[in-house]
Amino acid sequence: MLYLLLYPLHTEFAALNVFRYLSFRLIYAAITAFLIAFVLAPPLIRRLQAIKVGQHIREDGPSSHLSKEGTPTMGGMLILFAVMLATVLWADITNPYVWLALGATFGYGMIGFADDYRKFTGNKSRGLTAGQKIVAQGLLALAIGLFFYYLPGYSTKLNVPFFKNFTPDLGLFYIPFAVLVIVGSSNAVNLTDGLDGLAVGPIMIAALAYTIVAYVVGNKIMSDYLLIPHIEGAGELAVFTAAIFGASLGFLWFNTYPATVFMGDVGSLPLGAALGTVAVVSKHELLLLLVGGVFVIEAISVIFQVASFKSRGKRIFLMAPIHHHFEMKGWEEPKVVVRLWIIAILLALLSLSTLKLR
Amino acid sequence: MEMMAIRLKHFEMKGWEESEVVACLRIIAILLASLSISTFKLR
Repeated sequence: MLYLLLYPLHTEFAALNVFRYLSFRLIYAAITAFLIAFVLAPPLIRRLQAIKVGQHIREDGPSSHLSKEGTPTMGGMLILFAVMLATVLWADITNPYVWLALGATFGYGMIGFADDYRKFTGNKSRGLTAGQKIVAQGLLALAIGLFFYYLPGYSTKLNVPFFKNFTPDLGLFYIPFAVLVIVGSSNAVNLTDGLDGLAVGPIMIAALAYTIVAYVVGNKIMSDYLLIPHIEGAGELAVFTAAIFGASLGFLWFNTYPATVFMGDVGSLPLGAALGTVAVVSKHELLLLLVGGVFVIEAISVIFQVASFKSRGKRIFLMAPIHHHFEMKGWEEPKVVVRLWIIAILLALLSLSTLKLR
Repeated sequence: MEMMAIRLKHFEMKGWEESEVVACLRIIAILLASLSISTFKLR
């Protein structure tokens, strides 16, 4: 919005020419989102405490988590607000990709809100069942998949990391593939959100990595040089992902161990979906497996645990998702969190290297 | 002026958890790095 309002005035005030630059706008989107989250978090936490929106802790989880009972949840609402406001302020709001990403984030936020509300009220009939949740997620992702499939000029070819010439064309199957990427990413982030700061750290790191990817993909000179597909207008998504980075950073101040607020499904579901949507727009869908490797590991640990228990009657991990396994082995909670952040940083660096290594 | 220098000890004396102090200082470092990068453009 600021771009549309202020850049046209650059002929009279030369300093306003700076709004033309994506690099400037994405950095200030991050800082704006941080400040919104940071300033609004304390009153929101007080409000959530007042209306007793406390987290229910699973009784079969690690015993050290029982002290977290009653910690305010649904703080993800703040992240969503900060991301949306900062994006609308700093991005070019005539860009359809920006609205698509914001729409996906808001839609998944509503699903998460309904799910949290059900847990909060303890009345399952007033919220979504697991089946309803996955159907709602699937329908929203299907709408996004269809949008891309029918978008003129959008390629259904896959960009495979490390391979320059291997670009399989999925054709009509691109639609279910996009659904899988978005729904999978959303639920994987949701599974990861089990320790203080565990989900928000890798989200920040993945958002930063996709800020670079979106910037490069949207820049004709850079994408031609790196031999990656150029997507006209996708660069504006760097403002969106930078806002996710900033808002998550502001939220982390309060969500770090010992957390004074949890993001809840209203935060984890839309943030995962946002990363999935950006991966689809930037045509780096498979790279999300590497960028969001921590989320993949967490999701796979649950799948393997369930499959093993159902087929052999034995568990692979002491507890799933895998972060609980490490806790059960005696690691302190902050140690598990920071070590998974380190893995996320390494995977993000490796992912960025694939832009050149192909 | 402060309960204990260095400043990070001050926060611990005020009742913050060690991991909380560390995370908050990391966040400040990231913000300062972001601001520093923005000076490439803002000049």
